[in-house]
Order: sequence, then structure tokens, then C-alpha cells
Amino acid sequence: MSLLKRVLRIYVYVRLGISNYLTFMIALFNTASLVWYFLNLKDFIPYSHFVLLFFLLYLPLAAVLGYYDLKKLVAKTAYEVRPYWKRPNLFWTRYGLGAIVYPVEAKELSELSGDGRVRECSSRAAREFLKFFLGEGRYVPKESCFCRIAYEEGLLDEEHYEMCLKVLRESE
Amino acid sequence: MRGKKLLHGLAKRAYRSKAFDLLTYIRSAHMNYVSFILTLINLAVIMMGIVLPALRVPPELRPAAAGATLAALLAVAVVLGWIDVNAGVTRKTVVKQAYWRRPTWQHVAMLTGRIYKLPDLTALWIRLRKGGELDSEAAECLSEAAKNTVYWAYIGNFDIKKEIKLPSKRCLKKFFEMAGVELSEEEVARVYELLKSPEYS
Repeated sequence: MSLLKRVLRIYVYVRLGISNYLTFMIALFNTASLVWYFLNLKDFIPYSHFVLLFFLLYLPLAAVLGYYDLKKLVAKTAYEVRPYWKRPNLFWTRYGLGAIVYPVEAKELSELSGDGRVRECSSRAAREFLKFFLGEGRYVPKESCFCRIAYEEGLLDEEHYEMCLKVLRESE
Repeated sequence: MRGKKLLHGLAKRAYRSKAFDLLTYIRSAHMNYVSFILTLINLAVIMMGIVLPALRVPPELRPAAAGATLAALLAVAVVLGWIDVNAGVTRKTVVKQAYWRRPTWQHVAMLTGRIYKLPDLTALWIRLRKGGELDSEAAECLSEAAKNTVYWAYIGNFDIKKEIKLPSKRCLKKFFEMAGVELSEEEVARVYELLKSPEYS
């Protein structure tokens, strides 16, 4: 691993350590302290007792709310409104339309169809997948032979065939 | 309806606009580098100006004390961060998330034949046609899935919309029948109920 990649990894760990633990705990202490000070609770309860009580009440409540949050509330909804929940990303656009296929899949497809065009197209798409990987983001596969075969076979009409070509040629 | 159209129009413009590309890059730089560096500077300033004088640390020792605190904090953060990714909050957040245990929209879309991989649909079509098993119902359902897949890829790349047609009940049954599974009417109704829910619609 290069030095830069090592440094970047350490940097990510630093940030996660800080944001998920250190600043999180500091924020809780800050809140407890401000509540104790500004609500004049200092006249009734010592600081250490208040902090203990605060954490004893806050942590179980937060744990229960957090559980429901992840399973049913904001965290789940946030997952569903991500832009790529219902949309294909670059990989799925290519993979779904057959511009790239896995090598084992290429063999399966040609065996299943017993068709020369599918064999040749699968082989090209497997080669494209390798180029896609080796290109490290600089090469985007545009192979559209599966669109053509699907059109020739009558699986796609002309309108969807044109859409298929346009997606593979123009989307990045 | 007009409001939705207007919203779509605005969103489409925003998506095509280079200004948002630029904003995305700036935000990334700010969130990942600038804000972090500012936090470190804030910490150093607060240490030097407030904390260390309050602790009566002699002025000549303050830079070293602030540096040592910063270094200790960073060392603890590296250890915590590594544990976090591999066993802590970050990893647990992933596995406790609802969709760790449930299929996503795309999985369900493929399960129900709403979309599927074009090469697989094509190969299956050819196989059925050659074997004389491509009845009109199978042809219609495979074609519907193929068109939906292309449409999904098309609007996903060039449009703001994300509404993909639901599979017809006939095709839903047909795909499962091809897999040797007979769906009862109750199962079909339940599948449709879930397909119409906000997460899978």
C-alpha cells in the first residue's frame, strides 16, 4: 500500500474515532452541563449527581429510540430516499443492460441460449468488465450487443432499443 | 400536478447544471478536509488561550502541552476509528439498519420480474423460442421486464422521475410458475400490497 493510501486510511480512522466517540461524548457532557447551569439546578443538585442522573435517564431512552430509528423511523426512511434507492448506479446501468457480464455468467448465458450471437456478445461483455476494472474509473463500457440481440429477437421494440443504445452511449 | 411538473423541471435543470457539480466538489473538500483542520485549529487556540492558562501552565510550556494533547487525541482517535470500522458504531450501524435484514427495492424489483438483467432475459427468450416453449404469455412477460429494465436505466440516467411500472399480476404468476412455484391469490395480493408501499413502489 502506498504511503498516501496508508495516511488516508489513518485519517479516516481518526475522523471516525473523533466524530463517533470523542465529540459525541463531549456533546453529551456539554448538554448536561448547560442544562445544570442555566436551569439553576446547581442550587438543588450537585453537578456530579446531575450528570449521573442525566446519563441514567438519557442512555436507555436514546437506546430505545435508536433501535426504532434504525428499524422503522428516520434511519430507514433516509435509506429509502437515497438517490440510488430506486435508480441504477453506473455499474447497474452497465450490468443490467449487458455491457458487462461476469465470466461465469457469460458461460451460463451462452449455454442457456445455445446461440452464437449470445456467446460472442457475452464474451465481449466479460472482456469489457475486465477493462472496466482495470480502467480504475477512466473507462466506461459502452458495449450494446445485448440491446441489439434483444431487438432482433423482438424482446425490445424500436423505442426501447434506441433508449438502450442512448443509455450505453451517453450516460457516464 | 402543475406543482409536481414544476418541481421536476427545476430538479432536472439542477441535475444537468455544472454549478451543482462544483458545489458537490466544494462540499466534499469542506467536509473532509477544511472543517477538520478548522476543528484542530480551534482546539489548539482554545488550549493555548483558555485551558492551559487556566491550569497555570507556564507560557513557555504551552505550545508543547497543546501539541502533546493534540497528538494524544489523534492517537486515541486512530485506535477508536479502527475499532469503529471493524467492530464499533460504523459497522453496527450497517448491520442494525433495517435493510440489512430486508431485500432492497432493486432486489424486490428483480424478484417480481419488474426489472431484470437484459442478457439473462435475452438468453432465456432464445432458449424458450428454440425449444418451442415461448408461449404468448411468456413472450409478453419477458418483453415487459426487458422494456422496464431499459426504461429504468434510461430515466435513472437522463431524468428525475423514478416511477417504474409494476409487473402485471399475470406476469408475476408466470415468472414464479416458470421457477416451479405456484403463487396463491393471497400471496399475489400480499406481494402487491408490499409493492405499493412507499419503500417498494
